Amino acid sequence: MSKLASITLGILTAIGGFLDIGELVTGSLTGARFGMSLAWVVVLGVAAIMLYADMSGRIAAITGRAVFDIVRERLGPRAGLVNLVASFLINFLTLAAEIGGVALALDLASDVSYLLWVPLVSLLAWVVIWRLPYQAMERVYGLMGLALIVFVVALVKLHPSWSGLWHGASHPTVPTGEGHPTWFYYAIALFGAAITPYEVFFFSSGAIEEGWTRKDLAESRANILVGFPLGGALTIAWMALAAVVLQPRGISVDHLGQAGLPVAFALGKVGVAFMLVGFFAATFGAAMEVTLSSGYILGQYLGWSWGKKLRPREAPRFYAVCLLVLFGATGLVLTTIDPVKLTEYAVVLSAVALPLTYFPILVVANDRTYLGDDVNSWWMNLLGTGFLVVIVVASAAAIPLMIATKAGL
Amino acid sequence: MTMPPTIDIGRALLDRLVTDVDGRPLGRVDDIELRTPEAGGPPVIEAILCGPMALGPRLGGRVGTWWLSVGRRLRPESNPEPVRIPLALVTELRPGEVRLSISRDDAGTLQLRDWVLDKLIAPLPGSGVAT
Amino acid sequence: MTVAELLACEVVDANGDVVGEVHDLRFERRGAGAAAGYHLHYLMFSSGSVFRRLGYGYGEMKGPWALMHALRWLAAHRGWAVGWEHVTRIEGRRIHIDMPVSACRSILDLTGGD
Repeated sequence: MSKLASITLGILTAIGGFLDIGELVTGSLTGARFGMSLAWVVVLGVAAIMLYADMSGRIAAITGRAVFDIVRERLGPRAGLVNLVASFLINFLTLAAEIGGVALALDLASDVSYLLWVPLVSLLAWVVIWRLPYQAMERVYGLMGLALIVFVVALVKLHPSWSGLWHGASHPTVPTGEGHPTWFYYAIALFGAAITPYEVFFFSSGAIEEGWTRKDLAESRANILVGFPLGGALTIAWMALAAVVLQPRGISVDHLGQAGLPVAFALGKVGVAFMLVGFFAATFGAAMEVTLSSGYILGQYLGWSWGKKLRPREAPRFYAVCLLVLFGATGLVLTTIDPVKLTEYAVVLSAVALPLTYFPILVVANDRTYLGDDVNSWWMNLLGTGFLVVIVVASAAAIPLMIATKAGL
Repeated sequence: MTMPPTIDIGRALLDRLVTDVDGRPLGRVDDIELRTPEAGGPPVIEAILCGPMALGPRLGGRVGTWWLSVGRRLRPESNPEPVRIPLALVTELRPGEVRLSISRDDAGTLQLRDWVLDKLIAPLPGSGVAT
Repeated sequence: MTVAELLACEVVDANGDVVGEVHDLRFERRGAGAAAGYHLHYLMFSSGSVFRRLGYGYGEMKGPWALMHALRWLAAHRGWAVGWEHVTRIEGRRIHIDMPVSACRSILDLTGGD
């Protein structure tokens, strides 16, 4: 494959890979309640994940160390274990939410209850993880996820007041009738969805799976610089759809079906078909990334062989963890817990646990023993420190706000 | 042999990934054993210690105790000692990695792996393990 | 003995004050050939720093600026190294040394953080 084709494919994959159940739920939910007033959070979140994905990818390509390698060595076994348990729990909730999302998309497409789809979805996820090669897996769902461009098409078709949307986004104010705590609570949820921990686990471990070296960094940067912002743009389009269609009618998003109403309204059945394909791909792809991430982080903390490029008999503990996590998360969805609520909790808790992951990344990205001349430049450190401060504040505020607002009611 | 003249264990050894002669992981440096020479003088690094029996005490508290009990179950010969890898088998300290001169199959850190392979992975269809 | 039994021990100096906790150990290669071994040379201990393991005592760490300077300052002013020969006794999780902390070397002398 030519270099250009490979880069294009990588970028397309990154767009589909960025969006998952977190963005789909929080984007629509906040658009319907707060209009465009939280769009800035998506921009902030995209910028933060770009920077930290770059750092973790660079560390992985140059040293062969993934994120939880450096968590263990820089935080030590105790704080490392705290992070491991927290990240594992969040992964677990996120995985259940993604599986629920896939099943809901199939439910909407088929009128067969999502609960019946759940076991099938999990089985399919397992077969893909067990048998499908790494790159094929990533690319198939990444490209299918591009169907979500239907968000942009739908928005254009609705002829919204662009200046109104822009004004709402560039002059963020809390809408009347909503309290500041609720607004900030959903800001944290949206932020947590953009930078949820599994993304850096998967990005750095994936770099090692694909055998990146220093000379792959330019291509990785291209993916990050183009793919993530386009993924963010789709999220904002999705938010704008809710702001244009749902907010004026006072429709709140309690179900993925309501989130899809604007697309149905603008484009009819064909639009809905594209949207559901996109939903399916984005959530299914994320389900596999989260599953693998659970195996990655435990394997890295304990020094196991890990990776999908290894066959099950070469990395049995890794595959066993993936299987057990998938099994457990399926059980959690089958309790009929609301997948939308589950997503909200997962993204807010993401924000809580993030400092313990991002901090060691920032530290090692400055260690010349590890990276030589490829350590962070001063502006990366400036931005990285800034984002870390934001993340620490969000982390500290998340639980109090969750209690104060009764989780956003 | 490219071992450095000095080692700060927290900076270069403890908690690092241990890899075998082919670069395959076999655990982490969970603790380090010291020997005090009979003739006197400072303690000398004897071996790196791997596995739950070494990590448990470092975790401390209830979690550490639990980790130890997991470790005990994994050692079939009811040997309560952690897995020892003599320092003489270490050939290189890389960033975040401790490279050995032996194959990991001879290191004795893979009981859990073997158990999982036999009991969980091998019975599944398509595992690639001949049963 | 294992290093876990030394790490995080409190250090008590000649004046009887608890002056910090052991956070790292320096070993030095001595001898040649088969007799070569890594001998415990220095205990590194510090007080007031929660981020002991991040590596900021070392010259190779290049930022972020604020964090680096804060932790470097702590390493320079709250971090010391003491030779193993100055250890008089170890009681439980306390290591007694035979000199006052004011006479100990700064940790940065050892680690090249400047």
